[in-house]
Amino acid sequence: MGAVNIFGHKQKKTGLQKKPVIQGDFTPYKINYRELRIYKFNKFMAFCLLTLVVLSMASYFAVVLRESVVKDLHIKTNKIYYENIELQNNVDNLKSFYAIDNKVSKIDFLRKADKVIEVKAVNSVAPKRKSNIDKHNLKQVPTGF
Amino acid sequence: MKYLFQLRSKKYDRWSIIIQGSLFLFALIIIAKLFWVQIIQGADLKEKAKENRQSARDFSFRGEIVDRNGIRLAGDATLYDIYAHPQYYNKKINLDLMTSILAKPLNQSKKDIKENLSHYNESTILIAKNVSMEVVEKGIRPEISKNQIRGLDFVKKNIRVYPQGNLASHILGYINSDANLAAGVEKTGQKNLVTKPSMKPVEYDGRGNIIYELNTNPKIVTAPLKGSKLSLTIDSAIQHTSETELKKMIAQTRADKGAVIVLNPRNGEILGFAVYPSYNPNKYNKVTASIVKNWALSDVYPPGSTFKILTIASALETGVITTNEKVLDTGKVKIQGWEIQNYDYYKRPYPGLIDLNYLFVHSSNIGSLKISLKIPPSKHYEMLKRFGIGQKTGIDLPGESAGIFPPPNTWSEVTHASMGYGYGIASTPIQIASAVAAIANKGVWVTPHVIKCQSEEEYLSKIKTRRVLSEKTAADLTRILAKSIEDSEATSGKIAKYRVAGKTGTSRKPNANGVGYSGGIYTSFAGFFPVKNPQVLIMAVIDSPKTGNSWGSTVAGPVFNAVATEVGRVLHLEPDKKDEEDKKQ
Repeated sequence: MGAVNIFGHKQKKTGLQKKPVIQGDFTPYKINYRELRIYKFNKFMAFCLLTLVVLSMASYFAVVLRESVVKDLHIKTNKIYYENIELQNNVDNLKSFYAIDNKVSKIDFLRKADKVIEVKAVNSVAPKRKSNIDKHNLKQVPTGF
Repeated sequence: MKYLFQLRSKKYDRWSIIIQGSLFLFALIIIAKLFWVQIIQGADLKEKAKENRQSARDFSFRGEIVDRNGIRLAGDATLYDIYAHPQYYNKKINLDLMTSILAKPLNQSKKDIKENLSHYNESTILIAKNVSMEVVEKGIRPEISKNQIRGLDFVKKNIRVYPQGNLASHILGYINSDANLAAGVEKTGQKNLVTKPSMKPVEYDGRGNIIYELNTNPKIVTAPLKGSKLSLTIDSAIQHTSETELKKMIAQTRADKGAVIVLNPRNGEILGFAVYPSYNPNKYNKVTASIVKNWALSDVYPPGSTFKILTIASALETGVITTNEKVLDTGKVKIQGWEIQNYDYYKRPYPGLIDLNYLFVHSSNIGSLKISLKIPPSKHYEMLKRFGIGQKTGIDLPGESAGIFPPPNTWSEVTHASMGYGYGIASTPIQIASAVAAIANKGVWVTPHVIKCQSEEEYLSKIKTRRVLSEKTAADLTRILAKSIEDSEATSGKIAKYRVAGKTGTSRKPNANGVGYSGGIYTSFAGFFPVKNPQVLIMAVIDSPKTGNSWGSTVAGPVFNAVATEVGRVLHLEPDKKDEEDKKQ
């Protein structure tokens, strides 16, 4: 009677196996090389599948994360954009031709003075200062060039 | 003893086959279903799914309108309508808290707000309309999210804003998206203003989550969407000057209405189009339709003496007169029982043989009608048609009228005669402006327009040109008109630095029913400058000035002078007049 192949269990080739431990009418089960290869291939495929599942999950979460970032950016930029438009409208309104016209007419730049005060012309020629040299009768010192 | 292995029994095999078979069958059903859904029903289901999607780009801005220098004339602002949905209220939050959050920013009483919010039977309750973004984003939203309040909906919407106020109101028009009403370039430029840049839209599913696609570019996703920008040919500075000078003269003469058109005769671009009475397009619904209407396009008037330019041009072009022509001006004539006389008949009862210069200087009606009668009616009709009389100019603004220009077979002698000095027909100010512009443009008529063409191809497809006069006739007429301005005693058209070719006009205002004349008059001036190289045409028309001594030369002429002086400065036009000539004037 040959050894029975149970996947996941390796058969030990011991002396005990030479003698049947139990006796009875059992279905003979033979192990062959082909089945072993299939088992190994299946194991490999299961590993690949598992890896793919893990990768898919990781990429899904990455996508969701990126999506939320995009959504957040979208909301924030729009908010800034709308605020900017409000401010731009105000600025344009303030510097519009009509606004400036109204402001200028209120300030009245071209208004003539109500009263003009006339003042005497100030003598722009400064008075001559007497030289101390003459006063103290000092001799001139040659200074050269 | 624990067995290291187990042998398969027949029962096990049987069950194994049943389970495997079931799984296989199940997988087969799934595959079949997928095949059915994705391949056979794929296209239909795709369409159905699209219907359930909500485009994230629903809210988009209308394109801006800017003048030729990029000054913003129209843009969009954001407003909110606030709604409450009682079925979504958070049960832990009491209404008092919601009321206190909403009442102050919305400037409503707490009692009213609470009463509104407590209509539990309603699915949707309107709390406030047209709330500014600042109030919502800074006053309400932070409090709402802080207190985790649910059941309030802030519906964003656009409102058109015209930051320049009244400036160019009749050009810009208005837009009422709810009622699908529009005027001005808001109507004619609609296609451009709502054309969004080509980008893949982001879509939301029914729950409001973005339907993500791997190739979605975050830059595109986050870019706010708005329509294309519309550039006008209007120059804000010229527009403002035109409006200010027109308003000033209308206030001074207590006139009913007026218009000033400033255009570039070379390419038909309108640089300024002032229409009075004007309105603030931000509050277009507060004024009557007659004010919103651009009367310079829709209403017709007898052009009067400005039309003599076209009469003489037609006569010169058809060869019935030459530039040295002299006609006998008798001061007064009687045609088919109708007596026609010069405006200065009592001052100069018999001018005698006059030349074309005298005809323009003294605005001789008799000279004009005699020349008009010299032109065969069919040829005269054809010439005036070429000038665009009796047909729409094709300006890119809505509501244009074709004017009144009867066919030649209906003309009596007196009709033909009166046509010579601008009666017997009715035209719009824009028609006269574009007709005189043809003379300034070496005899080529160009479609006047306010929307700037973005490319040469667009210009060629949109703007029509036609030769009306030979280059020589246009040059001769320009010379005669310029000389007449210089020789005239009036100051109209006499401005510093530039020589002007133009003509004043004063015509009686017909009754609204078209029979007889009312007491009012139309005063006008059409002129272009610099004569050496015409760059600008200005047409000023003022309806029913109510002060004494109202003529084209005393009412419309000063408006022309003031606007022309400013236009020359704004456009840095090369002067064609020497300083001595200025001093002489």
